[in-house]
Amino acid sequence: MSRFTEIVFGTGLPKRDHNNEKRVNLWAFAWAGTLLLAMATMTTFNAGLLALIALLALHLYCALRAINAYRYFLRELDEMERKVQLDAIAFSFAMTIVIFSTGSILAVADIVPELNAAVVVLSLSLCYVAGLIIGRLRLS
Amino acid sequence: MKNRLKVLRAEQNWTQADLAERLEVSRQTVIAIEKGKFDPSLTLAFKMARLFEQPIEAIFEDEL
Repeated sequence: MSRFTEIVFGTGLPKRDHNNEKRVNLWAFAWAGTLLLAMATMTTFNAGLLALIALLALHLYCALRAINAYRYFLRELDEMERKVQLDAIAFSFAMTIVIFSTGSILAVADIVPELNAAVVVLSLSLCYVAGLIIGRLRLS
Repeated sequence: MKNRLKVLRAEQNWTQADLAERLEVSRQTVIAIEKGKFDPSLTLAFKMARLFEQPIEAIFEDEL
């Protein structure tokens, strides 16, 4: 079981990489938090332009910190783990294009409802996780 | 590419985790290299050569 969790969750990473991973997760959660905060503020209260600018600035700041944290995490990873990560990104990107193009055809044919941005985010996330697991299993 | 990493590691009585720590890579990477599923870069190969005090050709062998 521990071998399985090591492969799937990458628990065998050095401490340095775990700390970098935590930093990525922290900024990603902060980014998602500011998205929810901005949505809630804009829909619940009649916030003005100044509040909108402040929320946008906060949201962009967290997004840039998350991107930088992920880039640093990638740079510090060992070469094989970096390859697994980059393969997973390529896989998720390609699969999302395929899913979205197929979905668009089905939507035009009225078989599925019109696709929205949430589908892209969901597809990217799920395919990225699947790509990580496939990559780690392939090299284990 | 074939390699003698497992043998060299066993000679030193090191676990895969010990070797991973010394090479500053994950245990998964050591496992993949030992099984020949991942070929290390020149930088990592030189690091291994220094660690085991062996020339690179004594650790890695081309499968041609």
